[in-house]
Amino acid sequence: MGVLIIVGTVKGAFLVRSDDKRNSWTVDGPHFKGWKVTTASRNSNGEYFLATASDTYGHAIHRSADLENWTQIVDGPKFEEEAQRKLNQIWFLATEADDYYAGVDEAGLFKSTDHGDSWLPVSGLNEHETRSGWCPGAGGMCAHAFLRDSRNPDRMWCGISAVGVFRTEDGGQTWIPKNQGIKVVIPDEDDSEIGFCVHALAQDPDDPNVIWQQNHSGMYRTRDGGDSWESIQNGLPSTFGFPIVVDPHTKWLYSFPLHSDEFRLPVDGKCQVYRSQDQGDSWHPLGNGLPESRYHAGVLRGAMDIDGHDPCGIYFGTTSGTVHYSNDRGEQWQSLPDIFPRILTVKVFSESDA
Amino acid sequence: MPEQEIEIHVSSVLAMVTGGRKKFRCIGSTVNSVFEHLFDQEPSLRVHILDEQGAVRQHVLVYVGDEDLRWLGGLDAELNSPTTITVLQAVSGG
Repeated sequence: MGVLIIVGTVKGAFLVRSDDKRNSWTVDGPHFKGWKVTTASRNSNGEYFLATASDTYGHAIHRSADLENWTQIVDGPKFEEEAQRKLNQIWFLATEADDYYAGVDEAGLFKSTDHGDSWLPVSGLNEHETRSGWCPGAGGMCAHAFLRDSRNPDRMWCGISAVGVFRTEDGGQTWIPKNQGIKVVIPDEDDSEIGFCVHALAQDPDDPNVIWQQNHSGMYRTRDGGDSWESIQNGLPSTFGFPIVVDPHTKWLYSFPLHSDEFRLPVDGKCQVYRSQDQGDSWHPLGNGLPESRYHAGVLRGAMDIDGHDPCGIYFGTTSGTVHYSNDRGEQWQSLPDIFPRILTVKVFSESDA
Repeated sequence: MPEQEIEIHVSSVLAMVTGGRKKFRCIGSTVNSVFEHLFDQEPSLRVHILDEQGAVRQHVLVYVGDEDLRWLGGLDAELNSPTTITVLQAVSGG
């Protein structure tokens, strides 16, 4: 039936659609004009969820069955008054299983067991014994990455920027930092378990223990669910970047390196996606069809996604509002003609399996 | 203290979460009670006007008639006559 891309920008969401060939696209929007649209998801019933935020009016989650009529969830994620924390933005929504999770800034994880109608804080992580040492990075302090063990739903991972990766084995009751082997970015005098700046996570669809991590300090891989991480930089032009995605069919990986944490610009002014065809052992640039020079926009952590087609399509949106895509595993790239506002998130859904 | 009939106007951006509705008729004797009546009618507005501590959000501007709510004593300000309350985005916002 086709592909739907939800492009979330600082000024609303745009719905971009194509058929299975993924050659020509229609664009509809902006939805939630004037609001930041920070992430989107879909549940097993085909309902969509979309998170909005505003520097003035705060955040919310909205739900829709048809992507046109949206209803705000009134009892959304919210810190208790006594927590003295401010919820600035929802960074991810995980709504594929029966219990839903939302990650937020200021760092926190929330859970819903009634299909999103109400949300409660996950205290085992939000009140973690290391919490007093958590410090924000340049992008704030956000719980932005979430993975689940497809064989054991009680086993989950959550990534918090400038803090690190945590794993639970008991459905979220207790969380253990899992950052061994990763270079520390913000050393903590009292606690060596935190200060690791995860930027994004991707998981092997067949082996939940194999996880790739784009970190502030480089690209990493674990084969044991995070007990130990190894650096996998071979071929990458820098250690910095935000997104990492995996093709579920080939297990090829895709990232968008940036020149250093200091500058956060494309390397050498080139718009290049890097691909690994060997699980991260080596990386090679892809650029056919992408701007070859004088390119200075970045790609944020939520702004790259992959579809479930074979061959897969890869999509990314930039901080200058352009969307680029490949429908052949990255060999050739094209660009949408639209110039959007600064793009915060790109989420891709197959409309045939809704 | 007698209750007053108040018309509340919200901004165009907020109307995105109210199905396009920008005007609400509310009743109350204080700004706080009028807002509670507003939230009874449109629960989605609470999180966008008030913060986690129940105060007006930092960059939300509330006018009671022509007066800034901050100079009237905040949410406990009493309403002595029918008037209009306007909820706006302050210039200090994003």
